[in-house]
Amino acid sequence: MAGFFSRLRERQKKKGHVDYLVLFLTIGIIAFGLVMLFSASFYYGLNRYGDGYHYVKRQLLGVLLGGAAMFVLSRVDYHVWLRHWKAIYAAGLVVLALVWVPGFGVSSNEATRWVEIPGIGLQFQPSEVAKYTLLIAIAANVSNFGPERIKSFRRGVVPLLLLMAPVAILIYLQPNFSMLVILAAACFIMLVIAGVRGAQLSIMLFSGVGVGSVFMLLEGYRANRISSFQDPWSAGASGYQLRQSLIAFGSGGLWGQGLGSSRQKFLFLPYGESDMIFAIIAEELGLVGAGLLVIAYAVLYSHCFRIAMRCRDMGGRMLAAGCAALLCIQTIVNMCVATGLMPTTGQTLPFISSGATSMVVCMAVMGLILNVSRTNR
Amino acid sequence: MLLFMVLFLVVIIKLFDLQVVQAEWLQEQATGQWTRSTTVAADRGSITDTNGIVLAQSGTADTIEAAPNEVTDPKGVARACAEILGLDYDTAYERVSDEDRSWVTLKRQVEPEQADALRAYNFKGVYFTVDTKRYYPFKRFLTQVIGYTTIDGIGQDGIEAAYDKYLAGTPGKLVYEKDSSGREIPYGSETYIEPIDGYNIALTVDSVVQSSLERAVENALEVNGAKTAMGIVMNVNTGEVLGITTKPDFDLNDPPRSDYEELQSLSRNRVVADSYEPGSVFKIVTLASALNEGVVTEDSTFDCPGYKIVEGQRIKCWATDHGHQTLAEGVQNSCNPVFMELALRLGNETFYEYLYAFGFGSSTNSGMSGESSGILRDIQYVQSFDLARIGFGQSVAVTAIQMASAASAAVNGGELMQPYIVKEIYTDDGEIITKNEPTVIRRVISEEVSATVREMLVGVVEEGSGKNAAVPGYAIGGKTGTSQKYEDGAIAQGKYISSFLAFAPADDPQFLVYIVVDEPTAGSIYGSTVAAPFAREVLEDLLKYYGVQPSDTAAAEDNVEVPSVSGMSLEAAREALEEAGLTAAADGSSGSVVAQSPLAGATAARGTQVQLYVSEPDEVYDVAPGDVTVPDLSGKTAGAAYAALKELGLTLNAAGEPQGVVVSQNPAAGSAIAPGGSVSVTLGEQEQGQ
Repeated sequence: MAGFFSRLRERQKKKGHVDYLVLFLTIGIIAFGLVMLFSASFYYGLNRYGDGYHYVKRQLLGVLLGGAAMFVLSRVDYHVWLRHWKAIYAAGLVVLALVWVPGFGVSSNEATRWVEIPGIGLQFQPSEVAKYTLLIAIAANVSNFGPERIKSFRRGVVPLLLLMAPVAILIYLQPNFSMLVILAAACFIMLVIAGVRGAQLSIMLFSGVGVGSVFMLLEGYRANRISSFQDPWSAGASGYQLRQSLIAFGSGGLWGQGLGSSRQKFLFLPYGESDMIFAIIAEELGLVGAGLLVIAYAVLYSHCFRIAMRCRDMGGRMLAAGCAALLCIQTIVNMCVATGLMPTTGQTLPFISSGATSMVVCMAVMGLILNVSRTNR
Repeated sequence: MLLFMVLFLVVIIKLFDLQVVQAEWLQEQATGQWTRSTTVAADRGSITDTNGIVLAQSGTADTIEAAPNEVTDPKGVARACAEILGLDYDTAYERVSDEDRSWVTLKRQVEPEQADALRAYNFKGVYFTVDTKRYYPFKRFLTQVIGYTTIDGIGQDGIEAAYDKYLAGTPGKLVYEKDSSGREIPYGSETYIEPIDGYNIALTVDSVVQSSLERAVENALEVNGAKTAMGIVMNVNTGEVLGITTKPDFDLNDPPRSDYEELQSLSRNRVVADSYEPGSVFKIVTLASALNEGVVTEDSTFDCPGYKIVEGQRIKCWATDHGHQTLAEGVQNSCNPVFMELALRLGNETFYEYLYAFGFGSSTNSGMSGESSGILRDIQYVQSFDLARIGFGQSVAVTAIQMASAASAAVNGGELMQPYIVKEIYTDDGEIITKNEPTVIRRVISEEVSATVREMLVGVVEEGSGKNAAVPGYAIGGKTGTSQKYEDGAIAQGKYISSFLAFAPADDPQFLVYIVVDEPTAGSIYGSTVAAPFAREVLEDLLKYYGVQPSDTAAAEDNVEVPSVSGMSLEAAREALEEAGLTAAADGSSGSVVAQSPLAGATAARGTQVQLYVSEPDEVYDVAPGDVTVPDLSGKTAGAAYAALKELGLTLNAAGEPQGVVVSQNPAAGSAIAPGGSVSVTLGEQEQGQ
């Protein structure tokens, strides 16, 4: 052990080391997540697949693949990605478009968000991947533009918006509105960090919020979700999931029912193993456990942002900040949905919710951030 | 950055709101969602006779159901159902092939033999579930008194209905954790609230007496071609009802539920529910009242011209004329003018005081359902000719139990006893909940007068109209009765009620037999021929059963004491009786003796035939043939044990830690026990190792 740490210290002097707090916090959250997933998913797995370990097995596979991706990405200089941003961006668009290719796209609940690779049966959400390829493209461009050009609306901001547009349109068409909003928010934060003028930012913010609201109200089911979120107890079937989630939080109380003792996980709470796992955690571990988890996330992301801010290279800074913002927003949205602060969307809790693709992508993204952290001295 | 931290803070604040502030309210919303409770039926109590012989008992039966989607041979199933269960073939076929329904019931409460026969076919999609059924081992026995239950076991008539709250018990509960689709969670906790079994009821009725009465009254109904017939046997000294019946009746195991009118009519306990003009039997009351009041003595004499004119009304005697007669002769002749005279001598006020004192005009509160009060005309409107008629049992309506109870008071030494049929209510553990004791309501006449009444009534059987009831060698008192029926307020021509009331032994009466035949059509209408011979049948049986010695002692030189053979096998009983110098007759060819007549301890003439009543395994006591093997319940939770026992038609009786597992059981695993029986378990801490 001592040898391992001394070798790490050695490397720190030469190349710069990864941020250990971020690394171990990530590993800690993932480990905690596996335990909670096991508890939360056992009965769902038993019920749907006749195997209580179904979800845990898949998640472990995701952690293994994700761990490999995180390790590799933390060691490959991120400039490689920035240099090849065109190919990466194009790949992202292709993957997103696959949703519309017969034989690949998988529809459920009137949305086509999943792609199945024929033969293997592996399913994943292209948007999970595409949102990060977009971030890489934005980071690369901002880096290339330099601090002066970004101040120009026509030559700085518009090209970035043009990069975002195809991705946004494809995601909107799926449709996956909540993903679009999160991605837009992350992009906006990147524009702020990039140094876009305040006036232009304000205009974009207001018009973005305005257009978003109109689109949201255009679709009946979204408006419906909003009304059932406002008063789930009188919303009938559409308020069921939120009601069950709130019951889980309530029955958790201050100290929780105890690890493994959730009652809501016995199929009462839909998606208790994925989107709603935060509620099961809060039920089993109480305000104390759930609160500590929130704090852990807050520390993790604030450190990621610190890594971004400390990075003197604009490309690295943009990359780390964009990735951190995306993960952070997704985390907050998931928690707000579970606690009834926001209408229901389908966002998973990074590092914890079941889903191998999500796990691989999140860990890979953490690898990127860790790689950026190595350049900081 | 700062914005994100603020948002995380907002989440934590919301968590605090949900998990601390609103926690209690939210948990309330979950109440009932996490657990499910099923009712664990309590065993309905049994009804027994005075000696503990079971008259009504709950046991198991099968309900046959089918899942039409799974049935592969609907024709075969329908044919078998038609053959074995007696269902209509077309109806059965329609049901099992109705694929719109996932589950159909073919027949409920099927006898085990029939269910087994059907089970042997091994039909796909046909299911057998355990159901409880009320069994009445004696079938057509005490029908109206016991009553019956609904198909779901709720008391509907008779004792079953009136004492339902005692018999029913309190259902228990099995609460277990469930998932959102209602399935039990594996390893979830469960709580078992034990059902409290219903109490048992012991009647004052003695099955041996009842059998005799049932037979005699059935005969009376048949022989006379009567509409209905009823009878009651009472212990004159205690008021206990020893036997009571109304004919026609029906097998309690199969009430004619399809015909409501018929069921209502056959279920009517006419002994307590029907009011009728008693006719001359009522003269016992008039006689006792008049003697007690001193308006007449044994030496008084009367003249009967065949009628009596009261307030200008000419009221006929039943015969042309009885001429000059003593009071005793008047009683023997059942001479109406004599009793008109007695009633008139008593006067309205006094006679009515006696009528009320004897219990007329109000329900006897015997404990049987549907009891009526009879009809006593309001004293203000009673004219002399009405009073005169009441004197010989007209213009007054009584129930048979009122009549029997009043006559008991007249001959038992003068005390009106509270008639009752429920002896005690007790738990399975023998704890007594309620016990009825003989209760003196009031003294009505003096002992001396009662003795005189007895003497005069003996004369009726020995010399008068009651000769047909005489049992050679025994002193028996009695009185005939014949009255015309009223329908819609007018005399119904040709419709009579004929009755006979007798008590024995005459010098120290123990029991009273009263048989009433409604609308005899086979010729005679007089109580002396319509009812008395059947009262005699009962008297003969009872005298023997209670070991009453003939007063004519010439026949009784060589007496032996009857040994107790109850509980013995039939062979052993025969041997024991032969050893004692008696012979035996049994109502079956095998089994063990449950009752005997004469009773143990009675004195009987050498060579007397002792009637033995044996239990016939497939007929009487064993409600469902074939014992079941008690399974091993150790380590099971209460719920699992309950389910395992239910499969076999057994019930669970749990004690100890409700959340624990079975640590001991009784009877032990592997022992045989009758279906419907109960297995007691003790629940305790799980032994280590799960």
